[in-house]
Amino acid sequence: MKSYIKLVNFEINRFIKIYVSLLVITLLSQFIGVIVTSSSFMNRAHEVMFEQNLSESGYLHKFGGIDFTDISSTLWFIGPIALCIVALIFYSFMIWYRDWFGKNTFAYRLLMLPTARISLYFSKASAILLFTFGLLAFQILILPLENTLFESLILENFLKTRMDVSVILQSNGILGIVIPPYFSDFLISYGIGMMFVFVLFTSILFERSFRLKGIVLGILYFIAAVLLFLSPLFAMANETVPDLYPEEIFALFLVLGILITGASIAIGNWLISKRVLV
Amino acid sequence: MKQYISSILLVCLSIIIIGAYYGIMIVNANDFPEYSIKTLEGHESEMKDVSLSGFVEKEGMNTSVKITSNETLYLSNQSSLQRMTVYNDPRIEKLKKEHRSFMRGKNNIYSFYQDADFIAYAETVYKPSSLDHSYKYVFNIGLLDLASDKDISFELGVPGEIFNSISVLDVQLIQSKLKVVTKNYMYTNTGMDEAEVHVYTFDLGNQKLLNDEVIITPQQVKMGYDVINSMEQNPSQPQKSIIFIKRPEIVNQSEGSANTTNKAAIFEYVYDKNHLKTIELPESLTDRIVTSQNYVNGDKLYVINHDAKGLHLTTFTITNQTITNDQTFPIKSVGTETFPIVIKNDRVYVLATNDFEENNSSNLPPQLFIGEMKTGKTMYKGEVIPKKVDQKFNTKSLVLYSLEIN
Repeated sequence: MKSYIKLVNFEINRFIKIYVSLLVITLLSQFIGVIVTSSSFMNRAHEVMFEQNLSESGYLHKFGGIDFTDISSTLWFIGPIALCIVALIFYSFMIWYRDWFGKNTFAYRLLMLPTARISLYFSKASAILLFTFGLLAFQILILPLENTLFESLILENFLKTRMDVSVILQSNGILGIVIPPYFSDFLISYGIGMMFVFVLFTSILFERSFRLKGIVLGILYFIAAVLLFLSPLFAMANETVPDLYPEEIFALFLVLGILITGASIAIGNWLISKRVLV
Repeated sequence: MKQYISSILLVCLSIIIIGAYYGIMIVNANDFPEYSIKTLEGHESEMKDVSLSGFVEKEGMNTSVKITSNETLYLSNQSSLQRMTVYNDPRIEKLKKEHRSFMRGKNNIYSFYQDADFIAYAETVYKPSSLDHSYKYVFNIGLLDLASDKDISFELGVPGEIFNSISVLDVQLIQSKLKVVTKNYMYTNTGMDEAEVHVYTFDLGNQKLLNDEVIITPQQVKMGYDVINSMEQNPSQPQKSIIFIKRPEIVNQSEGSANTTNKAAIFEYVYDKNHLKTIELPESLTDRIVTSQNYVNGDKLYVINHDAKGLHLTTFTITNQTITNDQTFPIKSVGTETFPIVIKNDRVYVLATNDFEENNSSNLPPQLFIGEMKTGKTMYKGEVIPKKVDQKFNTKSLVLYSLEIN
């Protein structure tokens, strides 16, 4: 347990510089987005009102106001979120390969540690999970600040609706998926996410154990896991399979999810303790 | 310790912020107003079986709500699993509990027939044929023998041309033949909707279609023929006939020519006689049914109009073709809207709401009215109001659209 915590801490510290940069990029881009979008909206509104000789209410009647969805759909806002997602997916690979491709094969020293090697596997997965939750928490934290800034930049009358954080999250497609409105949905989304992190890690270990042959094995393992997890959907499209009730479909997904996660950890454990090459 | 600082910060902040966010969301989800039905007139015991359905708008989101005499039930308070099934018709849910295997994939309550011995099911589905993969409508038919708990099911192509859409109006088991009444919409070049009503007769034993009869032609549909909605609590119960109405004015208003033969009329299609019979209506009703809300329940036809005095409700008994009841209930209607109405056990239940009125500015709370059919007496009158008046919600955020009597 102690070595697991030490390893998690070690993984977090190794990535912390890039991670903090991601947070700073998100913060800057979203705040600049709020300022640029709302001030350009107000400037354009005043210009149009001047050119077409419209009153404030006349403008609003003709063109309408603005609300936070106009901000949260811009690239300023969505861009850094997408960047963070891509960065974490990329780092899910790098968290393994940097040990092998770094200077003087660091993996060798890690694998020689006097502790169960599966701790290494779990510590890397935990680090990815913590990085993900940290990003979510950061977005939840800065969203109300951005909203307050936005409302202070827009003249009262031009504000279509006042929105609070939960409404903003639900009104935006990407945010609604990243931070679902119900806690049960949150558990389901990130449960599926973690399952695929384990599947990916096991695929990577296949490659690290059997090299060229391992690439094929790893890819096949990943595809098989995805297909197996989605198999209830294929079953539903198939006419010969009787129609399933929603609660049965949910139970099927749950069982398959636990099965795939369990299998990935078991195979991962076997690969990292018996087969992995340095 | 110092080397752990970023990990500790990351873990603690994530847990605190995400935890707080979902904590607030859960508190917010429970922060919907409680409503009560405040009695204005009559005795509360009259409305103890009434439940009103609608939605409450909050911060731009609609949440389904069910209001009964003693509770306000919100959809968002329920778990994900409950949310998956809660949109289902309670009558379907009941059948599903009793006949789980037979009920798989069956959802439309109007597609069921149920008597003491059998449950029959007929629905049309649009699917690719196994031969040439072209899409066509097929009948999906099932029969459950309640005594032996054995069921059969089969598929049969819908004969004739390719229809645009088909909706099942009624399913009946008559002398061990399955009768399926459907309204079939057809493709036209003119862009106008063209439809006809069919009665399909199936031999369940041999899994064969015996007969396909058009009982209302496209020409008749254009003249204003349509089926009258049923007020059955249970549309799957056995019926010997299905009732149609002809409402010429509604369709042909623009064409002007006051055709005297083109009067409103009621028709009955009796299943075991295979023909459409005109029902003689008293003069007073022929004019009214053109604009009224009409419902059928068993052999009763209810004709409902709003006039200056209130809600005028006439009961016409189809079997002996006489008016058996005629009452006016003191329910005022501001516009032309039709109120949800249920008639059950000598009571008429009306949900009077102006929520669907265009330019609705009056902001009156929805009212529940219960009258006695026989005497026309008002048995109960109440309005739906929030339990706490000083909340940020007013009645405007509540929209009710249906009522059920349990």
